[in-house]
Amino acid sequence: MPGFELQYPLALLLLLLAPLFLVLRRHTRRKLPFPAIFPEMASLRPSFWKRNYNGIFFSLVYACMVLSLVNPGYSKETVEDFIESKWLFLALDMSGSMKRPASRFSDQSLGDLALDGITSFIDMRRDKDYIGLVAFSSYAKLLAPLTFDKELLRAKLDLVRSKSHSRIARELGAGGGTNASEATWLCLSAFFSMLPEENRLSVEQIAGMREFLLGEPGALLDIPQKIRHATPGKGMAVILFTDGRIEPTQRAHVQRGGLPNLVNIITLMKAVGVRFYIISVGGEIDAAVEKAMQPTTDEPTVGRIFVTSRGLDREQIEEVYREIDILETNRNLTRITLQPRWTRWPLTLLTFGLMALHLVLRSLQGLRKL
Amino acid sequence: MKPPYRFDVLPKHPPRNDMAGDWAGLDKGTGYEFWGLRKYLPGDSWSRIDWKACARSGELHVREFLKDSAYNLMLLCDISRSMHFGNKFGLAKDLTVSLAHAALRSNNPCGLLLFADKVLTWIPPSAAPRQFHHIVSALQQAPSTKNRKTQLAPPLKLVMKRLSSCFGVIISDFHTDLSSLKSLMDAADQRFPAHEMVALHVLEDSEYHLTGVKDGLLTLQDMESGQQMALDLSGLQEFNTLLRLKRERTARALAGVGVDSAVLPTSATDIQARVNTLLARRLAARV
Repeated sequence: MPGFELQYPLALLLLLLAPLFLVLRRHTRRKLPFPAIFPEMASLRPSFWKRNYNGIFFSLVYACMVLSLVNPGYSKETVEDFIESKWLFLALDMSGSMKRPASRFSDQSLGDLALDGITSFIDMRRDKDYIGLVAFSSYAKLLAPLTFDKELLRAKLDLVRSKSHSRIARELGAGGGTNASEATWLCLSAFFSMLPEENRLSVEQIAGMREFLLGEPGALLDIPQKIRHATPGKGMAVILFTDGRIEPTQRAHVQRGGLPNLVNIITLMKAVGVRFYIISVGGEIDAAVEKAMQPTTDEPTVGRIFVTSRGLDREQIEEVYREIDILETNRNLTRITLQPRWTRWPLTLLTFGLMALHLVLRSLQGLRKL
Repeated sequence: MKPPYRFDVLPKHPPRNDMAGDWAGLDKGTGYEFWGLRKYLPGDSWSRIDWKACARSGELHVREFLKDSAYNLMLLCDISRSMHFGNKFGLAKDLTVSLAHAALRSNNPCGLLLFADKVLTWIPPSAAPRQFHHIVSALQQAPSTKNRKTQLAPPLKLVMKRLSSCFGVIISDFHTDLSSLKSLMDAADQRFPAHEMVALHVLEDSEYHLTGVKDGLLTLQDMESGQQMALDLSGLQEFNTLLRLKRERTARALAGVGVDSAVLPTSATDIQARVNTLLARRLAARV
């Protein structure tokens, strides 16, 4: 039985008192004094069941009572299949540059334009697709974890619109940088924590993996066996929407370190099979990143870079997302959940049932005590 | 205390007591019961000469008589634990008092022995006027014995040792091993045993015949040994059969050592008739 445990194991010691109770019952049971019992009477002794059913029922009831105190528990395994679901993370640049107007005559900023495009994309997705949102500027923030709830996603997107004046929009807009590597890593971490139980990484394992990503490109990546055996990535994709410069590390943090290298992240995504799409609106792509995105002869392609002009309208963005939709393949996922089940109440009910049965048996003509 | 029953105590064999009484004794003496004739010997009283026999035979013959005697009634009453089941001891007391009264009324010495696993009270036979009072008092103050078992050997040994002859009545439920009685009794082998014994087998109704009980499980505890046994009373008929066989076995064991017995259930209304019948039949069966 998986996950068997006892809530109060010390209560099992009460079982040691059972023989004492049986002996006491034997001594205190009702007896009819009779002048003489002679050996021939042995032929009238009741059968084993009739003679001992009282003790048997007492033992069972006592054992059930003790076990209901001990409260044994086990974990029920629930297997859920998710068919044809895609896991998509949308990372949206919320730096100050995204507040620029989309055109000279437009009152919409580039960020709003991107948000409209993302909203359209969310509406286009199927109901069973998992979609998560990450917004970033100098730092990355998880707006919404992977979810089926499109209403939630729309509400989260409204929070970061320039006109909403929400706290998140203000905080993210204050940061001037374009920390794409941190946002991408946050998306990957969310993927790793959402894997099935047997392949799911712990927080420590994810943090350990991040240490490897801090180094210079080309270092040997230590990918946990859980991820390797999971073979994820058939339906996982990270879509990065930005207008800033995409480079391995943010300039402001080069001196201090502590940020993952985007080239290393791309290498990791290649290794685990997560697709990576960059939509750069009038931005620049660093040569190292561009090179990392290029497929080599023996490696599968990791994704694409879409570079568009600053005047990109909603139709163009939707066209890009349609292309992404075609590129992705479906993925079958199985989620195994272990739910703890305690047996106190069933055992208590069993105790009362046995007591009732005992009373019924005692009232039967052949089994009653005279 | 007024005796509840009127018994006619009739010993089967002639008593051997030296004390004069209403019974013709075993030995010849100065009684009223004619024994026979014998030739006159010098020293015989002339008043005992049978003149008719002299006329027929031409020789002097004297008449001989049996000695007048009285029987020693020895009442052996069981007061073990099992006798306190139901009203058995009450009946035993009534029987003892009635028998003592019957014996003392006709000036026969009467004694009492209370026993369980040993002799607890011993009142030697006497025909004194206060003997009845002694017997009644002893019964009323019968020691509440903690001794459980019934043992017949100690009282019988005491009686054999202390009394040269007696007519003993054992009042008990006989829940004991009777196989050792043979070595204790002298009645079976002798034509006129010195110690003549009669058994009154006192039983409670449920020991005699269990009725009014339906199916069910019953745990019995032996009052003497403390042994417990669970019984399935769906076989009630079999249980009653076992009780009957036990009674018959006891009666056979007693008869085997020359002790006649009568079963007296506590609820019987004809106790007096049963006891008198037993005594009368014994006398009738005398050879």
